[in-house]
Amino acid sequence: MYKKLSIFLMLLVLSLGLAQAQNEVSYEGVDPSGQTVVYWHQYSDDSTQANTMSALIDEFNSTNEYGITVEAIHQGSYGPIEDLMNTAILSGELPNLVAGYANAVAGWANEGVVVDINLLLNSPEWGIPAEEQQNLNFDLLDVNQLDFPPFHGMRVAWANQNSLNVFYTNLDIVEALGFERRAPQTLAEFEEISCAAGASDMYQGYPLDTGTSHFESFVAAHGGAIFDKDAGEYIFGSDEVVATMEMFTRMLDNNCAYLFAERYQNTGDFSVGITPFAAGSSAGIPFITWDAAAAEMTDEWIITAFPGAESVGPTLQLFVPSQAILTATAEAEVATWLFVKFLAGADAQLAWSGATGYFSIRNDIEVTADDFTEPRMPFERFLEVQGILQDESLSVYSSPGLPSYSAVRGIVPNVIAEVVNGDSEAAAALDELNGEAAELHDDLDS
Amino acid sequence: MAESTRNLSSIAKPPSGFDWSKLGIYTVLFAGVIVAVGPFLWMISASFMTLSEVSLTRLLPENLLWENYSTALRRANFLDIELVTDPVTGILQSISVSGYLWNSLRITLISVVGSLAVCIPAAYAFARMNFVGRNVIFALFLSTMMIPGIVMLIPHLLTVIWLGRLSESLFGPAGAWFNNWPSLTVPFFASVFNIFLLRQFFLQIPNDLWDAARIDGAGHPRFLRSVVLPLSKAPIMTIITLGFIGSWNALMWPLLVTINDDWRPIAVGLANFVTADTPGDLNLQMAASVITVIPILILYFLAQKQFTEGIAQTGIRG
Amino acid sequence: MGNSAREFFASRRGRVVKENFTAYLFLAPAATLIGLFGLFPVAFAFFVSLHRWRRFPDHYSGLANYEKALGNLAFILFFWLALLLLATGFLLIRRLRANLSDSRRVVDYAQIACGLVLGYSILLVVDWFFKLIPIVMVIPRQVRGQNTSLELFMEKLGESFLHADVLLAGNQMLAALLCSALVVAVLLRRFPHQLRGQVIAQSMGVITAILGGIFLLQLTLAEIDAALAAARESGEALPIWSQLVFVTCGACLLALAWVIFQRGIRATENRRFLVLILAGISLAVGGYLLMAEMPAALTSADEDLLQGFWITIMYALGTVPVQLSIGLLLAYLLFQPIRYRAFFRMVYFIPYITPFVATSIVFRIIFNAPETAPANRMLSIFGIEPQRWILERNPVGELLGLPDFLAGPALALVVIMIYSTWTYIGYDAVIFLAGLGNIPGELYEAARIDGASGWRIFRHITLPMLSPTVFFLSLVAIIGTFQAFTQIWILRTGAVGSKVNTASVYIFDELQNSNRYGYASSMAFVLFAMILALTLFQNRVMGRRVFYG
Repeated sequence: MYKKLSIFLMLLVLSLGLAQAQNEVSYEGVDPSGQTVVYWHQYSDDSTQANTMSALIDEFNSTNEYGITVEAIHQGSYGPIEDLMNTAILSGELPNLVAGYANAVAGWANEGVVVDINLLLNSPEWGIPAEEQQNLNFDLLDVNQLDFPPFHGMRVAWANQNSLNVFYTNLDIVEALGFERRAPQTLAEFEEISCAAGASDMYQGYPLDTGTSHFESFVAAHGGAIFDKDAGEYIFGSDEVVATMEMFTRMLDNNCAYLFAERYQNTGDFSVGITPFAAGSSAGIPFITWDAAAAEMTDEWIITAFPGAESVGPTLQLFVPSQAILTATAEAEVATWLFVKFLAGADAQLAWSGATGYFSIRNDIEVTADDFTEPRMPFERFLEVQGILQDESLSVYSSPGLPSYSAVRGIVPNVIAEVVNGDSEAAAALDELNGEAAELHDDLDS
Repeated sequence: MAESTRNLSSIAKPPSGFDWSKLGIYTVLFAGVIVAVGPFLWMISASFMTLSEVSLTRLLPENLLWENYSTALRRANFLDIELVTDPVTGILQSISVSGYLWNSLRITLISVVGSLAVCIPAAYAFARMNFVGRNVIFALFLSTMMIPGIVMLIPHLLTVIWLGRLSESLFGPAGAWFNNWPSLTVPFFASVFNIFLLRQFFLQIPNDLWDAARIDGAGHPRFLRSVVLPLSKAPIMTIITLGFIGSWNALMWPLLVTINDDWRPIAVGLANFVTADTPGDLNLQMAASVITVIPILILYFLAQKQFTEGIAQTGIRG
Repeated sequence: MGNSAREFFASRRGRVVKENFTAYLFLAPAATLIGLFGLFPVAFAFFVSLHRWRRFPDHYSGLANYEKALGNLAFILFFWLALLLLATGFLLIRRLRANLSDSRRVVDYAQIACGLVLGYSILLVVDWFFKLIPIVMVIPRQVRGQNTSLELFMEKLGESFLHADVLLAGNQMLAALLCSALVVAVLLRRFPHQLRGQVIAQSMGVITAILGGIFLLQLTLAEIDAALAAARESGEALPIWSQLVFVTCGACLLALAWVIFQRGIRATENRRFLVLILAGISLAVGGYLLMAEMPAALTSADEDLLQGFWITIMYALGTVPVQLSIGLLLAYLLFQPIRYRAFFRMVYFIPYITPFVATSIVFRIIFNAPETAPANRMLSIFGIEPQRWILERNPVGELLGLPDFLAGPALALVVIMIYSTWTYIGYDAVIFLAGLGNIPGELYEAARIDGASGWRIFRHITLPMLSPTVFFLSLVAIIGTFQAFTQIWILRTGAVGSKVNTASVYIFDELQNSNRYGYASSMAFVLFAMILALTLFQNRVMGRRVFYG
C-alpha cells in the first residue's frame, strides 16, 4: 500500500516538475524593442504620486535604449482595479503591469496570468546582477515571493516602495490627561489613556477601525498572526486573536474607543486634536499634517510603532503596494520588466521616495531632507518613521499573500462588528470565522 | 392631459373666513419641500466651505470658496477642452474635448437615440398589431424586469466581450464593444420599461385615426411615422429624461467595461474621486457632486413639464 | 409571380401574414437585444450555477451550489420546479386538445408533429450552445503568453466549433433543424390554408416543458441519491424524503387554505362557517408542518444568505408601504385647490433624478454618529439621546426597549430605508397625482350630494379608483426593493457588519471577494425565483382587488 502510494507520489512530483519545466520561458535573446507597456496604477490624478510617476515614466520613455513606451492609466483605487482585472482575465485582454497587493496578485496568479519575476530578476541578460541585488531590501520584496503551494516560490509581484501602518500620539492631550508626555509603551497603557480620554469632556477615546488591516496590526501587537505560515492554516481561534477581539470589545464597551463612518475619519479626528491616538498608513502622514495645519491644531504629535503586549515590544505592520507583470509575449514581458527595473534603480528610487514619502526598497540610498522635492511634504515626519525602523526590538508583520486572504478580508469586519456589539462571544465567533476561512483556504488556494 | 390639472375645486366648500385646512396643507407641502431639497441645498452650501466647516456641519460657509470648484474640476478630470491652433498662423485647427462630463454626454445621447429607435417600433407592434404569440412575447419581455441585476453581471460581460470580438473582426478596431460606446449603450437600448410606457400610450390612441389612415392607404409604418409619433411627444420626452438620468447615474456596469478614460462616464469619475485611495476632502467631493448634478437638473427643468405629464399619461392603467 | 404575390397580400389571409411579418420586423431589434441581454443571461446563470466555476469553468457539480446555499431545501425546490414544468406540459396538452376540432384531421396531427419536432430542435440548439460556451470561455486562457491579437481569438473561436462534443451536438442540432425545415415545408405545401400557429406553438411548449421537467426531475433525483449515499457513508441520517414529503404537504395545505378561504367568502351564510373552519384547519396543519420541517431542511444552508433574505424582506416591508402612503398623501394634498402646484411637483421629483453617489455623501454626514451630526442635533431638540445611526447594528426594537420578537431591522438599515424612501417618494407622488387626475369628477359630486364626508369619499371613491395605480406602484417598488443594491452598497459601514446586507449585496460581495461564480450564480438564481414567485403571488392576490373602472 505504502509502496504504491510512494510511487504515485513520485510520479506526481515528476509530472509537476515536468509541467513546471514546460512552463519555463526563456528570456535570453528576446528583443523588447518598440514594445508598448500598459500600466494600471492607483495613484489619483493630480496627486504627488501620480505626477512623480508620470515624470519617471517620461524619463524612462525618452531614455530607454529599446524605444519602449510605457502608457500609464489611473484605474481608481485597489477595489476598482481588482474588478477590472476580473474583466481583463475573463476577456484575455490584459495590461502588462498592474498594481495590487500580494494576496490579490496571488489570485490572478492562480489563473495563470502572472509572470514569475524571479525568472526575469535572475536572467543573465535582463536581470539584476547578484552584487547589485545585495543593495535591494529582500526582507521587503519577499512578501511577494509565495513559498506555499501551488506557487512554489514564485515571485508574483515586485514592489518599488513600501509603507507602514504606524501609530500616532498627540503628546499634549496625553499630558493634559495626566499621563507622562510620551507615546504609550504597552497596550495596557494605550488602553488606559484612551479610557481617560473617553471619560474626559474635552476629548474622545480611540477611533477604532473595524477594517481587517487595522485588526491585524493589533493582533501583531499581541504577538500573534491570523495565518500560520508554517502550518499553512488560518488561526483565528488563537489566543492572540481572541485577546485582540476582547480588547476591542472592552474598549468600546467602556467608552475608551469609538467607531466612525467616513473613510480616514480616524486620522481626520486626530488631526483636529480631539483624540489622543490614531493608527494609519504612513502614506497618510502628509494628509494629517496638512489637515492639522488647516484646522490650526498646534498640539505636538509624534509617530511611533504600535505599543505591544507586555512581552512583545513595539510592532509594525508592513504594507507593500506592488506591481505584477502579466503574461504577454516574451518581448512584452521583458519590456515591462525593464521598466520595473528602472523604477528599482537608485536614481528613480531616490526621486520617488523623495517626492512621495514612501520608503525605498533599496538599502544603499539614504533619503535626506534635500531629496524631498515636493515642498509641501513634511519630510521630517518621514525621517521620524525611518528612525522607528532602526529600533532593534521592533518586530514587523505582514498579511498572508493568499488568494483566500482577499475573501477572508471581506468577512473579518463583519465578525468584528458582531462581537464588539455583544451579539456573540469573541472566542465562539472567531472559531466560526476560522471554519469559514479554512473552507475558503481549501477552495481558493489550490 | 387636462385632467391632471383638474382638481376638487368644483366640490370644495365655499370659503368661510380664514381657511385653516389650507394652512395645514401648505405646511405639510413646505415641509416636504425642505425634506426633498434640503440635503441637496446643503450639498451646494458645503461645496463652498472649508474642510473644517464641513466637518462641523455648518449650515452656511463663512466665505464662498469658489476655488473648490476649480480644484475639483481639475482633480476629478471632469472636463478638458483643448484648442489646437496652427503653430505658424495661429488659426484654430481643431478642438479636442475630453473628460468624464463629455463622455457621459456622448453616452447618454447614443443610448437615448438608440433606445427610442428600438423601443418605439416594438411598443407599436405590441399596442396596435395582431401577431402570433403577442401576449407570450410581451409577458416574456415583462418578466425580464424581475431579473436581479446581480444575475446579469457576468453573462453581460461575456456577451459584450464576444460580440465585440465578432464586430471587431467585421468592422476593425472601431467596431470594438469593450471599452467603447457599444458596451455602455447597446445593452440598454431595449428597455422593457420604455416599451411598456410607450405601449400604454399607443393603446390610448383612438382607433378612428387608424381607420382613417387605412382608408388613405397608409400601412403601419406610415401610420406610426405620421400620426402616432407626432402625438407622442410627452412619452418620448419622458423616455429621453429617464434615459438621461439612467445613463448619467450608471455606476457598476461602466466600472467594469471601461478600462481607460476614453469613454468612462461621470458617475464612475465621481465615485473614483470620492473613494480615492488618498483621504478625500469632503468639500471638494461636494463640489464635484454639484458639478455632476447640474447638467441633469438643467435638463430636468427644461423638460419637466412634458416629463411629469408623460409619466402622468402613460405611467399607469394596467 | 409578382402579380400572384400582390394578390396574395391583398387577400384577407395575406393581410394577416403581412401584418405578422411587419410586426416581427418591428419587434426584431428589441427581441434580439432582450434575448441577448435579458433572457440569455438567465439561462447562462443557471448553467453556471450547476458547475464549480471560479473565474473559469471548472467542472459540473450538479446541485452542489444550491445545496450549499439552501441546504436540503434546494432538493425540495428543484423537485417542485420539475413538477411545475411537467404540470405546465400537461396543462398545455389539455389546452391543445381543446383547441383541436372534434373530428381529428390529418392536418391536426401533422401540426402537432411539426410542433414537437420544432420544440425538440430548439432544445437541441440550446444543448449545442451550452456545450459550446464553456469551450469558448476558456479561450482567453489558451491564448496567454501569445500575442493576443483579434485574429488569434477568432481562430480559436473557429476551432472551438470543431471540438468533439460540440461537433456531435452541432450535428444533431443540424439534423433536427433540417428535419423541422422539411416538415414545415411539407406542411406548407400540403395544407397551405389550414395551418394555425397556435397549435404548433402549443405543441412546441408541450415538448419543451415535459422534456425540461424530466431533465430537472432526473437531476434532482440523482442529486438526492448522491446526497443520501454520502450520508450513509458517514453514518448520518439524512431525512431528505420525509422533509420533501412534509414540506410539500405543508405548502399544498397552505395553498389549499387560501383557495378554500376564497371560496368561503363567496359562500352562503350557513355554509361559510364550515368552509372557514376547513380553511383554518388546513392553514394550521400546513403551517405546523412547514414550521416543524423548514428549520431542519435549512440546517446546512448558508446562514448569511438566509439573513440576507430576511433583511431584504424587512427592507421591502419598511420602505414600500411608507413610500406609497407618503407619496399618496403628498399627491392628495397637491390635488387640492392650491397654488404653485407645478413648483411642488417639480421639487419633489428632484431626489429621484440625482445620482446616488452624490446624495449618499450628504446622507452619510446627516446620519453620522457624533453628537454634532445633524440628525443627532435634531434629536437633542426633543431631549433624546444621540444615536449612532449608520453605525448602529442594534435593531430599532431593542433601542426602543421593545421585546425581542419586535426587534426589527438594524438602525443602520432604517437609515438606508429613509434614504431610499426619500429618493422614491417624488416619483410615487407624481404617478399618484396622475391617477387622481384620471378619476372622473362626477363621482365626487355624486358622493357629496349623498352627504359623504371627506374621509368616506377618500375611502370609498378615491382609493378604489386609484387601485390600479397602487397596484402598479407597489409592484414596481417591491421588485425594486428586492433588487436593491446601490443604495445599500454605498451607505453601509464596517461597523454595521453584515446587518444591512440584503441578498443582492451579499451575493455581490461573494462574487467580488472570492470570485466563486458558480456559487454566486446559484444564489442569484434563488433570488430571482423568489422575486418571480412574489410577483406572481402579488398578481393573484392583489390583482383581484384592483378595480379597473
